[in-house]
Formats: sequence, structure tokens, C-alpha cells
Amino acid sequence: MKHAENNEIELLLRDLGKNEGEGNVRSARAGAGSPDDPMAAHLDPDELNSFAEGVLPAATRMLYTAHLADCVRCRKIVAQLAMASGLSVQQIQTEKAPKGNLWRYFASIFTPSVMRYAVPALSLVILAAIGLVWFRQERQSSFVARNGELTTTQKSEPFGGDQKAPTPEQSNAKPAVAEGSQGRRAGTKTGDTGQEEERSKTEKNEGAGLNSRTKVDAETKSEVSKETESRVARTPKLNVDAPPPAKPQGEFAQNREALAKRPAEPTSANSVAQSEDDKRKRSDQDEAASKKAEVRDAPAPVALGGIMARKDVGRSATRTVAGRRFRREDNVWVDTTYSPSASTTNITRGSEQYRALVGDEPGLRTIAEQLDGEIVVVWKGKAYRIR
Amino acid sequence: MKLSESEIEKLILEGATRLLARAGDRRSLTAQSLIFRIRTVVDKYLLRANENALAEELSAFIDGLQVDDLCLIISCELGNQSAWSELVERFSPTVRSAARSASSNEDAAEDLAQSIWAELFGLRTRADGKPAGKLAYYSGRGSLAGWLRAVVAQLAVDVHRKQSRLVQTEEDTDLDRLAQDATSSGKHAGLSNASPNPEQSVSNKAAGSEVQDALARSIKELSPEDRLLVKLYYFDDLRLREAGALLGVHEATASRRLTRIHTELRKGVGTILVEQRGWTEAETERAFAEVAITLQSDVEAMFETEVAGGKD
Repeated sequence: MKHAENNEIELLLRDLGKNEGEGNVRSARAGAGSPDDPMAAHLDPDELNSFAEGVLPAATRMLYTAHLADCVRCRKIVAQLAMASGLSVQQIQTEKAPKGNLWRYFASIFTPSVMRYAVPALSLVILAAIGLVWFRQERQSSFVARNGELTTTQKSEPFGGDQKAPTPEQSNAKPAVAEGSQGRRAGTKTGDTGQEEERSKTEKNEGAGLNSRTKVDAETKSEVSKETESRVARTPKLNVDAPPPAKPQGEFAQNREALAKRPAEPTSANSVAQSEDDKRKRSDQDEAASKKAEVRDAPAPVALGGIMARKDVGRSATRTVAGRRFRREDNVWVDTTYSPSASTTNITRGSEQYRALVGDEPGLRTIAEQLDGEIVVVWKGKAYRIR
Repeated sequence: MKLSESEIEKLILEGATRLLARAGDRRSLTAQSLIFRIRTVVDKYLLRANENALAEELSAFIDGLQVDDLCLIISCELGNQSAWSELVERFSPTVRSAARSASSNEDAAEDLAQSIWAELFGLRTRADGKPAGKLAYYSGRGSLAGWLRAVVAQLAVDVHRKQSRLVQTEEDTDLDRLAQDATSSGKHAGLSNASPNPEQSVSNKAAGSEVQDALARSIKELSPEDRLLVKLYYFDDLRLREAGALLGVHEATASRRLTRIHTELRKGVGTILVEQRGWTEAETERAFAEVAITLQSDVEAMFETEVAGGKD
């Protein structure tokens, strides 16, 4: 509406200008000014030029502006001079405001006409910034939540909580650990390959009285050797990605060989008494080692899950494994569905009962393998405490 | 507080000394030889509009003078021949260019340029025996080149005025004939454009005339700056950038100012028509709309005529 009104006035002004222009040419040629002009005399060339160049003081300029607005002749000359001299706005503005420019500039910024647009624009920008920050935080928190879920199955750390391994190393370490744990399971359950052979050799070389004891030793040793093997197997693979000094690699290899030879040494010596003493000492050491091995290796059949779980213990108080939710209470993973009043069956990791149970219940095995330490789990209505 | 006469004289003397100190070529002038000229320009441009100007303002004003141009002109006035030669040599192209712009042909431009130098030198003599040339009117506030252009433009108007008096009667007759032709052909007649209905035509014409009259009166009510902007833009056909530059504002500022002026004028015209002519609001609105339609159609008709003329 306002635009249309302005258009009407614009058209009227142009028409008036056209008519006035025709009259102005005549009056300009005749050298006549406006009859209403208080300064009836025309401006002299110096005044005209000073106005056109914008070098007059403001008060004087106002006087001449009033004359020029009504005097066609002087206005035409001023316009002609301004165009000829290539007058720029800067020239005039510099002349108008020689001092206090900065103050006037800031004052002009905070005028109502400027603030009318600036304040809504500024508030819009601030709102947009707040919205952006909030949106980013929201996204980050959703990522954290998703990552928390993913850690139960994917996240891994080959060397426990103290060492941090990059992602490529995880993929390298995974088969090695799996191999180790698989070997251990195979060794404990079916007694195949090297362990079987060792056991048979021991049985052959040693007397019947020593048989049962040797079996226990062989088992514990096999576990220790497997553990060592799994460590050795992991280490070189990691070294491929991030090559540390070559020396440790050699040491591990030597240890591996030495450990592999260890069970065979007594048999080759053919000295029962010596072997008995050695075995006794070793059995003491191995008992401690096996306990450590249980704690360290038991929860890692799905390769990195157990290791990762150790790391996550400190981070989260609850975990979900195989669809079951566990809560960490005094270093014990307790099934959230477990009721303390229910009777609990205690099972030790590595025992026959344990093997039988996890053999029959793969889901339970997954839980036992992914959660290290003591676990209280409710499975098919029964509560088990796995240590 | 108003400066005393002695204070003003002291400030002017100090200012003249400062000016000479920074002059590229002093031309053997002393501060005393500048004082009269400086006093004139201070009175004319500073104290006349602001009697209470401060000492700092006065000093700054003097420091803003074009000292080299001023020294050259004063030397010429004092009869220094080398200064004259320099003036003619340096500013002949400027004078010739200005004369060409103000004249219709090359001969007229050459005549005008020659007469400028005669005017500057002064063929007549003053009471003190010195030539009464126009050089005495250069204040040194603006550039000498600009002042010369202004002198040329003013002289051209005077020359044209003298010539036009001789041919005015004949020219007026021609203009009247042209106006009659245009009206009868109906191609370019502004508000006098006839509509199919003669009664309505007369009514529209009367209404349009009243609106235009109210508009002219409203323009007079505007502030001098706004009035000058309107006239420079609509009457003198300057571009908005040029009009703004002349007023010392940016093109965008001039545009905003013009929009505001439109609103003010619209309101002013409405007030005049309602309060002084007894129109109703509805009549005012209708008259605006009809006048706008008529003018718009005139503009379009004129444009079509020009296009057709161009093709022919």
C-alpha cells in the first residue's frame, strides 16, 4: 500500500519536474531566481564552487542550500560543477565532521533507527547460536549412549586397561586371542594335540602313583603355556602395526620356546625324584599362575570382549550381555533380575561343573566369558554364582 | 563567546603565517598580503552564518584554505607576469573544457574561453588604478580549477541570457506551436491527456491540476535539504548518487531520504486537499489513483512513441 502511494507521488513529482523543467530552462536562461528567495541575488562563482566541492562550514552550507533549492540558475551550475569535479561523498563528510568522528560514529550506531533493526537481528543470531550448541550437545550425548552399547560387543583393548591400542591393532589381536582361548578350551575339554601328547608322555614315563598329580600339573601348565602363547601370539601382531624395538619380540619367542619345552624336560631327564621336586615347586607357582590366568583369560572367548569389559568396569556400573543386564556391586556382576532371597549355586570357573554348564548353555558361556570376575546370573529360573 | 575584533585579527595573522609556511611557492608574498583576502573569506563563509565561532574553528577554517592557488591569484592581482603565465598555462585546458560544456558549438566555446581570460584580467580599472578583474573574488576556499569552471558557467548563462532576449519572442512562438501539436496529437500531454468521456476528461484534468498544485505547495513546505534533493533528482535529472554527493550523503541515504519525502509529500497533499479544498479522504485517494493511472499511461505512450521513432 505504502509502496503504491509512493509510486503515485513519484509519478506526480516526475510530471511536475517535467513541467517545471520547461519553465526552469526559460527562467535559468533569463537568470531569474525564485521570487520567494530571501537571498534574491544569485550565488557568486566562489560560493557555487565552494558548495559544489563541499568545503563550506555547515551553517553557511545551510544558507546556500535554501537558496539552491529555489534558484534554478544556481542549482544548475552547482550540479554541473559537482559532476565536473567528480565530487565524492567522502570529501563532504570529511569536511563536515573533522573532529569527534569516532564519538559521532558510535552515536550513530546506537540511534533508534539502527537499533530497530539491529536488536532483532542480534537476538536472532544469539538464538541460532544457542540452538546450534544445544543441537551439538544433543548429538554428542546420543553418540555416547550408542557407543556405550557398542562397547559391550565391539570395543576392545588387547593389553588390558593400562595400554591403549589403536583400532587396527584390535583387528590384528582378535584372531590371536581367539586362537589362544580356543586352544585353552580345546585343551581343557577334549585334551587334543600337544596337551594330549604331553599327558600321555607323562603317563608313560611316570609311575601310576604320580599319574593323578601329573594330570593336574599338566593341566595347570597347559593353561600357563596357553596364556603365555596367547600373549606371545598377540605381541608380534601388535608390533607389526606399531613396531617397538625388535628385542622384546625375540625375548617372547625365546620364552615361548622355553615354555613349550618345559613339560618335556623332566621326561627327558628321566629322573623321577627330581621331576617330583620340580613339579611340586612348579605346581605351587602354577597354582598361583592359574588363579591369575582364570581371572585374566576366562572372560575372553569372544576375543576382545573380556578385555574390553575390564576396561569398562571402571566406567559403567551396568552392562548388558546376551540380553541380560548386570549391575556392578562390590566387584561382582549381579544380574538385575537376581533376588538375594533366591538360592544360589556356586560354580568355579574351569571346574567340571562349570564346563558342563557352559557347554550346555552357550548363552551362559557368553555371559561368563564377557564378564570377568565374579558373576551372579539368573539362568532358567536358577541363580548361579560364577567365580 | 563571540571573538573580539582584535582576537580575530590576531588569529588571521597567525593563520596567514601558517599558510605561507606550508605553501609550495610563496611567490615572495608576506603574511600581510594575505590578511585582507583571508579576512574577507572568514567574514563571508564563517562569521556571517556563525558569529560566535570559536578561535579553534576560525583557525581550522583558515588552515583549510587552498594556499597555493591563493598565492597564485594574489600574485596575478599584484601584476606578477610569471604568475599570469603560469595561471594561463595551467588552467587553459580547464577553461576550454568548461566553455565547451556550456556552449553549443566549438566557435562559441572558443569565444567564451577568450572572454573568460579578459574577465579575469579585468579590462576596466578600479579607483586605485588596478584592473577590476574577477580574480578578486576567488576566496581560496574551493579549488581554483572549480572556481574557474563556475566563472565560465556563470558567464555562459549571462551570454545566453543576452542572446535569448533577442530571439525570445520567436522561440516562445515555436514552443507554443510544439505544445499545441503535442496536445492535439494526444501523444504527450501529461495530465491534459484526454479520456474517451469529455466530462470525465474535464473532471480528471481539474482534479489532476488540484493535486499538482497541492504537491507544489507541499514541496515548498519541505526542509531546504529535502527540497533541494527533490529538485535535483526530479527537476534537474541528476542521478541519486550525484544528488546525494552534492548534499554530502551516500546514495543509499539519499534513497532512504527520498522515500521518507514521498511519504511526507503524500500526507501533505492529502492534508491540503482535505482541509483547504474540502475533499473527502475517499476523493483524495481516488484522485491519486486516477492521476497515477493517467501519468503511467502517458509514460508508456511516450515510451512506445520513442521506440517507434527509433525504428523509423
